[in-house]
Amino acid sequence: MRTLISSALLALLATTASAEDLRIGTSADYPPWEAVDANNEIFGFDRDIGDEICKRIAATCTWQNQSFDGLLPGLQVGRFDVIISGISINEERSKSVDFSAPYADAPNSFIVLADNPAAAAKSKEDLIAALSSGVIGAQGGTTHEQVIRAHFANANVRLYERPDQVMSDILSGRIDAGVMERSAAEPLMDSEKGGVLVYAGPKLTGVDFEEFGKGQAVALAKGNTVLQNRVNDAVAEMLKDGTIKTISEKWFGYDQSPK
Amino acid sequence: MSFEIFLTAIPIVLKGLWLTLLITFCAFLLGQIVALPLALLARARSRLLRWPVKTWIFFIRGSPLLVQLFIIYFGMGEVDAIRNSVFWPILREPLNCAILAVGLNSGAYSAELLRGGLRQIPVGQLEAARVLGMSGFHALTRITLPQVYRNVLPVTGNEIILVMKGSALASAVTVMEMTGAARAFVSKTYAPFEVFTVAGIIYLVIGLALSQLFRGIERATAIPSSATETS
Repeated sequence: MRTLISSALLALLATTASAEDLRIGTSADYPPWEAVDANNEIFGFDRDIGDEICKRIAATCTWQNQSFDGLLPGLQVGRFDVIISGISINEERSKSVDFSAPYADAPNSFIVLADNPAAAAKSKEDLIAALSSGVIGAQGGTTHEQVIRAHFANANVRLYERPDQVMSDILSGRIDAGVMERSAAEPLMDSEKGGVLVYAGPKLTGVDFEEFGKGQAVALAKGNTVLQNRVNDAVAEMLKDGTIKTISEKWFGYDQSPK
Repeated sequence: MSFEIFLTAIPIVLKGLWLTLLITFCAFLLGQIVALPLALLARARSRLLRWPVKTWIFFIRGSPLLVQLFIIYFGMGEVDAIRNSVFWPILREPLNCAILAVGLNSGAYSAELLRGGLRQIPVGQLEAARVLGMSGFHALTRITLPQVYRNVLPVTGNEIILVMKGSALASAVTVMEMTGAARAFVSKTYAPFEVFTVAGIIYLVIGLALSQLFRGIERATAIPSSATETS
């Protein structure tokens, strides 16, 4: 009898919980998008965006930290309900997950040592010419990796787990250049000895190399249209009333709302 | 489980096979080369010789291989003195760092195995060798070591499989061996189950081949009369 009651209770709790609870997966190693503080609490641009979306769709959200290449598999096996981790929309990913409307469109940059010839690049064509047979590093499983493979035909691609590792190998001279999101590069550039590392070429988005994707969006498991529509509505609202602009300026110092 | 992804994963994971084998054999070789001097020094009578070696083995055995790999790869890459030294052309290459880390790690473990093997050789044999006029070096190479290596052969076969598994960490420093190739493919297909299953099966096959190889060496080097010894 007791087991019957407790299992009934459990079932009741479970149903009320699943209606409201949203487990958000993120790879908190990408400040200012997301990072963890001394208490292991996740903070950053995505955290604010995610919490705001949760507020607008009236869900209770819990955040879970998981390495980037484990995020999409985690979503597919149901470990999370959504991923908010600066994930760029692209075709390849769209095959296995659904995306909300983009809530940001972040620029990317190439980084080289100041004395590298590529440092003088003015356009993306200059970059391709200077680096197409070099050694280029990027975080594995990102759109950056795809851009290098698609446009820098003879480049030797090295894949890292985190952007700071890419930086340290540019510094040590193991690789000629690294590609990463501008926002991920900025705090690392600031902490390096001034002037050793420089940005090469212009800021790049999906307009320059389509593999960069159509901006960053919330990723959901395939076919979860109800939740997808609710998130889309929330994002549209937040774009319209300037919430995204405000959060963006708070964390990046500029507006990266998708145009 | 998609059989199609499973099949497409096979050639992609196999692309990392060469690097896995390369790291395994080079690191194992390096480990065996450093193991013997370490084992002998760890048994030296002088505390001055013994102590640094024991500390080295303690540090290597007591810390995770991944940490050691990161120290060698990222840690040393940050030190200007190392970057300007003659060692940099070697440490610059991720593959060398992986072989060095896995090899030194294996060397410390193998040294402990050899030390155990050395202890089992009865002192009487060496006394007899000396009476016959053999030098210490001759006694070591002709009497002690052939017995020691025969005795540790089964655990050495085990060690090379541990080295093979250690090589899977090399992808953390951009070396795309089998695990790295598998991870890169997972990030494209989001099918971890299929891809890692393929990698796991290939590792098992390599492990099987290596243990067969060592069993063969064991048989070939066994002393006929002691083939049935119960040790």
